[in-house]
Amino acid sequence: MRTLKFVAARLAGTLLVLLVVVFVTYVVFYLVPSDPAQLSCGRPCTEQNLALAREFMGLDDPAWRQFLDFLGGIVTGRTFGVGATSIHCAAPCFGYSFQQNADVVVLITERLPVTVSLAVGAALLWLVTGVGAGVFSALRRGTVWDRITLAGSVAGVSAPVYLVGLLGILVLGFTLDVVPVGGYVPFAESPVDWAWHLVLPWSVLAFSHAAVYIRLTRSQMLETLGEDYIRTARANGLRESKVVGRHALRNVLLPVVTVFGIDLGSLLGGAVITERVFSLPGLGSLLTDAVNQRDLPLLLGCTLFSAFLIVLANVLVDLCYGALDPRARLT
Amino acid sequence: MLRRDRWALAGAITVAVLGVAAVAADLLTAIEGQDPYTYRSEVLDPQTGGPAGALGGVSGEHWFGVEPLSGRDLFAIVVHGARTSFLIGLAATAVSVVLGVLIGAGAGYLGGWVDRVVTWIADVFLGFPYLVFMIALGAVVPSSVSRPLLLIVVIGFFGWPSIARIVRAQVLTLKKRNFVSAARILGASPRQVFRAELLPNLWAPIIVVATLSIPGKIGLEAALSFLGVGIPQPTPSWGRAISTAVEWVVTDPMFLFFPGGALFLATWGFTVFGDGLRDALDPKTEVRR
Repeated sequence: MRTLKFVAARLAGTLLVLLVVVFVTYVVFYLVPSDPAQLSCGRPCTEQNLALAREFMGLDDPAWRQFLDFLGGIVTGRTFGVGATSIHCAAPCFGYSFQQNADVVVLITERLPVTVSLAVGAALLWLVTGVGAGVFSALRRGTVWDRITLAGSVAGVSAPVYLVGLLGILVLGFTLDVVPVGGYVPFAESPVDWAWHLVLPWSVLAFSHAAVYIRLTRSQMLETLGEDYIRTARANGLRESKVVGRHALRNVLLPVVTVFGIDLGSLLGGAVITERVFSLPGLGSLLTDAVNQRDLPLLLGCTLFSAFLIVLANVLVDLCYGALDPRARLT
Repeated sequence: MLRRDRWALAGAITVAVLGVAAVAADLLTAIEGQDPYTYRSEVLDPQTGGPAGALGGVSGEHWFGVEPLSGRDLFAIVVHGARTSFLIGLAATAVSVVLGVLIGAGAGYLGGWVDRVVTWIADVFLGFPYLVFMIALGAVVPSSVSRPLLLIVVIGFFGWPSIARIVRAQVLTLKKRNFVSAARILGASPRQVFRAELLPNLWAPIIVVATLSIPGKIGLEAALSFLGVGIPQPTPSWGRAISTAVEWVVTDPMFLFFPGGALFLATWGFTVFGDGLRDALDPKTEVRR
């Protein structure tokens, strides 16, 4: 019962957050003096065509009406224009790209597999290596290995992902010629090629992210190992591997899970930079294309979609928290 | 304290060197005899458009070589790019710190519903897809708006929640101390308590969190410029130079090496210097090293 109430309260809060995000994004995008009708009106753009385009897109309506139409579209879908030339955008309608003549949701779902492949693979890699290296470093505190790991993690935190990516392309891709440097092969086509083409992007993303996890895991581990309950576990004669692996790690994972959720959520919303460096046709490149074409509905749709993913990731983190830490369930 | 920490010292020196280069960019490029804006086709290879000569055209005349296709001096671009990066990084941090300290201290000291609302808004901000949002914003804001100013305001604005959180936590513990209670009982207004009692005790954590947030902001400016929605031509920017280097990475790796190396050194320097400051000012973390 208590769990149910907790989940319900979280979901209600999440809905409110999403609504605020939609509202803020919408206001900012439509306050900015740029006219989607003008952009998709074509050349030469006559006054008449412009007025028609405005009416078609619903830009004639007052701002609050447009916002409500947008919100309504998410729930029930919406239709632009009337009669034979009308365009229907099925629910959930997060907007319609008049420049590409496509439903924003359709455009996003087309690109989603690429970004999911990239983000999930990299996330697993950095979670395992980051936490592993962090624990290793904490258990060997003060040794040469500890210092090397720490120096490496500071370098990883500092080096921007595109720099690491370009170096990877230069060294592993061209000079040594061991891995492909870009392109995407769908999983269904050939799982081996799919993985092989993603090896470099995965490693690059993982290197940049793992650094944070190493630092976090290490400091949390050192703090946890000084706690009384660890001493009790040791005094009870538990093997060291069990003390660290079962009792300490559980506590260490709490902050790691928080960061992991946010990282994965924001990466799923579009690994913009990585996708540009490795020319992967994912959500990030969809966004970059939308930027270049000044495709406002698509920009709005992409922003909202990534907000949705981050918020969703936060909810999942909260639920994981409850599972990992009994104390969190009571609040 | 700091002097014993060799890493932090190395970071501080790196930051200082880059900072001096940023301030004295005009002087340095005058000594070299170049500037970051002049196009020079005679230093380019007419076939490829890349720099003529080995190592990206590094010579006594062009210390870091030249930019492919334009022939602009790379050393001038790197030192003037340092100016852009530092200006935006520091100014955006200042915006974040002012907002974060005021909001965080307000939430912590006043408590009650103010605290709850601020915490909630901070959570919304921390869960906001700010990179995607900034890219989109950079695309829709008309070019008549000054880009450096836009970057400073936007990057700075999105940075307040992490600072507010730390300040709020500090204020919550300070609030219970006797000297703050004494000031309050003597009739000091919240503003007086903030200025005279809280702020002097907040400087250490504020400086640490500000220093540690600078590299992220420099990196963000570079990332946005890399993606083409940051600093526009012809203002030199590390991120935009690296973005151009993508197409030249195989034929002219030196063009990636210099701006990329400068960006790496700047973020690395601020990170290790900030870590050192935190260890020096917060004894709790030092034990864990």
